[in-house]
Amino acid sequence: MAPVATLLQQNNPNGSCLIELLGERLELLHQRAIYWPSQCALLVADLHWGKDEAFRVRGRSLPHGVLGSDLARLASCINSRPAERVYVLGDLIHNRDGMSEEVIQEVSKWRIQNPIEMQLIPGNHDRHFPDLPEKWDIEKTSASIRVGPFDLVHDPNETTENYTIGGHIHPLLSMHSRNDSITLPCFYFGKRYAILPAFSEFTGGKKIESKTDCKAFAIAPKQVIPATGC
Amino acid sequence: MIEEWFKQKGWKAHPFQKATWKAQRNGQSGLIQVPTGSGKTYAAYGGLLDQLKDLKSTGLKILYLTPLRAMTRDLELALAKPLEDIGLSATVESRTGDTSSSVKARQKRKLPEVLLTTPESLTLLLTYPEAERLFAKLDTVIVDEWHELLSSKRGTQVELALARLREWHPRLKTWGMSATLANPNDAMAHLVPHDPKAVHITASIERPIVLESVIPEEITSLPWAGNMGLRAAKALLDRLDPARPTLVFTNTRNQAEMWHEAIIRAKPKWIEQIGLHHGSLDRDGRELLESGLKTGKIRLVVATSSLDLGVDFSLIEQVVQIGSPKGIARLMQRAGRSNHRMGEKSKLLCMPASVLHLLEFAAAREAIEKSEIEAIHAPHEPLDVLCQHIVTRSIGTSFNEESLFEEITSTKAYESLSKDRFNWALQLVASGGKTLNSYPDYGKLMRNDLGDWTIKQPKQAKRHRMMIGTITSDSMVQVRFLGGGRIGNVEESFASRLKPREKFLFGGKVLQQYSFRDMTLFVKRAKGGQASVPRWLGGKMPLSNQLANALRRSFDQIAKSAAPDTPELRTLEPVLRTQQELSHIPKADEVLFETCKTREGYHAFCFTFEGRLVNDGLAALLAYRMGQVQAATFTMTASDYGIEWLCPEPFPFQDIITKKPELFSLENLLEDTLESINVGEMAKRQFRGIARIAGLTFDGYPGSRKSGKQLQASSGLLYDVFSKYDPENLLIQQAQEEVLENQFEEARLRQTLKRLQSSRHIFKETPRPTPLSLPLIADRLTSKISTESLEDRIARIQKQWLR
Repeated sequence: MAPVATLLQQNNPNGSCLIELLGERLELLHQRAIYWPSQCALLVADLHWGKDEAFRVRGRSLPHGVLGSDLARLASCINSRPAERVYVLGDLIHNRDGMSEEVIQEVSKWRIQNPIEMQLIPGNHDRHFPDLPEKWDIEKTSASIRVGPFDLVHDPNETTENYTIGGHIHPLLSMHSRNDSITLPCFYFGKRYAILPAFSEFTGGKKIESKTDCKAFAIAPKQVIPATGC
Repeated sequence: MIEEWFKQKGWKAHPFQKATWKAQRNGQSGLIQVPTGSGKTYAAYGGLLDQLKDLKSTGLKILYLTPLRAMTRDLELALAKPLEDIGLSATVESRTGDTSSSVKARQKRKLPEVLLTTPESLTLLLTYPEAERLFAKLDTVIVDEWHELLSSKRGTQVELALARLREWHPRLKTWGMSATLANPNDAMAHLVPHDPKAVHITASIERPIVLESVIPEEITSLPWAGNMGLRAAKALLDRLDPARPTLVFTNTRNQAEMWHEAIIRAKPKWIEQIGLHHGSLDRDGRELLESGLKTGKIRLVVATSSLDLGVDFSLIEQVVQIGSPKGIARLMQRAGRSNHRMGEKSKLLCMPASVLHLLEFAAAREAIEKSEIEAIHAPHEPLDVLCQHIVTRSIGTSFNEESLFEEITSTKAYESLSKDRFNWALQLVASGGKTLNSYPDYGKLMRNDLGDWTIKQPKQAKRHRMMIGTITSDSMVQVRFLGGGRIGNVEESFASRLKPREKFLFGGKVLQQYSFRDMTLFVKRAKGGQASVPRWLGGKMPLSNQLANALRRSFDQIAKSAAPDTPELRTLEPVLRTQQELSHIPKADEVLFETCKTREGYHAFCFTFEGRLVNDGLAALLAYRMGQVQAATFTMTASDYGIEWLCPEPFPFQDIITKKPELFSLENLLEDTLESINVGEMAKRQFRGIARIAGLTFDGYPGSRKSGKQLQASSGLLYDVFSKYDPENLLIQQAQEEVLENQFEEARLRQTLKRLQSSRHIFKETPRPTPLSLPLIADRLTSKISTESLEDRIARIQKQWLR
């Protein structure tokens, strides 16, 4: 069986890694997104827009800024590549509390500046707010869509016949040496599915188990690092 | 009146008791400093009895604060006894988190004449609209175990509550009780600020402590490093006997679990009479054990500092300390738990967990004889407690911000509080601060018609009352049997590391992980086999400065052949001779450095004997500064005694250390420390507690954890968001300052650098590790300090993979 994902290039000046998966080239960005050149598409997962707002609405004080910073990072991905559309692999929003007027406005404004086509493959959090604001101009798809050789889903555990790409897990990778350990968000490529890191910086995550038949790429502040230990 | 009662009882009042009663009748305040178990309760209370005469339900006259709610029941009886005997109608009651709601409701109508309560319950009482009426007749506040409260934010909370009470009663009398203190003036100033008439009362009560070390027949059975010492357990087991009730103190919960298990394994017949006591165990179980100790049913308890304070166990005949004593005051406190009778000796048996502990015991004995105890420092101006207090003051009644500022700055803790910092805190709780003001929900206060501040909604008042207090713990997970029975708590990090079906030792039982969900760890009983022990945080307590001094003095005496002849030194003689032959024994004005080459690489050691925290900070600081002179990668280890730097390649340690005195400079200390240590990582943990105390985060109503599932974020995430989007937040700065002080004892680090500047440096290159350096080498795997950037660390980790 062919290797799951082959590393073509690392240490790119922009911090990304280029890999090949089922004949498709994918660029893993340290901004926690995948750029797919043959489709001119960006893949992101678990944006959880309004999560910090949900905390505030429930009386848990948090400073503003998470959403703005996440949106700016997404814009930088869109603008630095010839991207024509963005596939959101679920959990675009966090919950109903977080969908305050301010959040809706902030995203609407951002959409005017970034009018790229956006498709949302709905995730478990998206059901809390089924009808997205019209101004956002984001199209909802079915729970799984076929693009090229892949099925794009939210929860990759609900496997289909094809190789799936999803999110949901918020994968983290622990890197250990004898006397040090660091935990970072990561991209994960297994035998049957791949998992994207959570795009939102205000999310925790789950450490993934090391297995020999998978590959993971850790996300350091300015670069993606192939983690052969996984 | 108290004199009569003493006569009735056939007791003779001690001079310090008489002195206190006299001062009380003069209307003075004061601080009573006497060893535990010398009768200070009746000293502080006796002179007040006259006031309770001929009372016609006046309400609260005497408020008695204690840090431990478990102690209130015994105290209640002790305080009620003289009233009953004399035939006074005044009532004594307690009010704590355990008091039933019907009693609480009755007390809210009228408080008893004598009320026993905790700092938290007092603050809570102050939030009721009827507080001023309830406290209208208050005459005296007695604060028990002031030395214990003083060192924590709970003490700050007491200071603020007292300031509130003094607003109502400018002539309020305050009496503190404490164990012997090194800085009594400071302790007094925090308790009774600006009162020139306040008196110190000390007693010349002799309660000699007889410290004896357990010396194993084979000194080789003691390890060089580590803190268990179980291989030599037999030496201690021979000294234990259920016929002589004994408290065995350890330094960590981990140690307590292991020793408890070892004793039971060796003496299965004792099982009914042995108990285990530590802070993670369920409170009901602990209380059962405590009452067993009192009645004599339980004869042997292995405990951590959870039993340092509290109820008198008059039956205890012997106290054992396992491992390093860590501090003189702490050791004396523990020794005082035996033979709670005046004039009797306290017997203390010290069991070494590694070889050099014997030297610590000898040093501690000398320090105890010379009464060299540690000074206690109160928190300085903690903003989180201030934020909480401002909200507390807005509930029940409103406050005027000018007079509140004056009230708060009348305390010692906040005497130098600037108006700016006060305003910042007020703005934070009132409107949510600069960054949070867009929602009505965050702002808790509003101005009323008079321009005073008051809480906005009853809902917020209710919420605030539930979170009053400054005791924070790491995120804890409940441990329960599958059937539902509660066993205790473990740290979340330990629970999440357990693999399914993994066995672990907890509360003296071997348990097996069954499932972990909703912050509850479900377990089953398991039979034997290999079991891990939860490694709780907090095992990092450093050697105190006084014990460190005493230890350095011991080395000085040994080096000058002037050491007193003690069993410990006789036992250690071969070890010390080896140290002298291979290297050197440092005198008081010397600091010893050793270098050594092994298979692992090039080692350098520095022996400061300044405690683990200072050495942790110093290791990273000096590595950073040495690295500035010549780039290198060091692996570092710190112990209570010293530091090890290990370098894979040759490194001119001696050259740099002797030729670069700026290595030990105090200049840029803060910047270099922040540069060399990833303070952020540690500040994250600290920040969670601060945010909770300040009321920024709310942990939710008890038992309603589930509902908050979508509102969970780890303390690390919260800290990241605050430090990135609200870096000016003073609470973030407080977290960093607390880390520097708590994690590295910054003030002591400065002292150590000064000593390093002024001491003679002795350099020895040794052919092999010495008795002093060996423990550091053995310890290395358990400690880590990194001075590299995240990217560098990743690169280094990857390099190891490739090997």
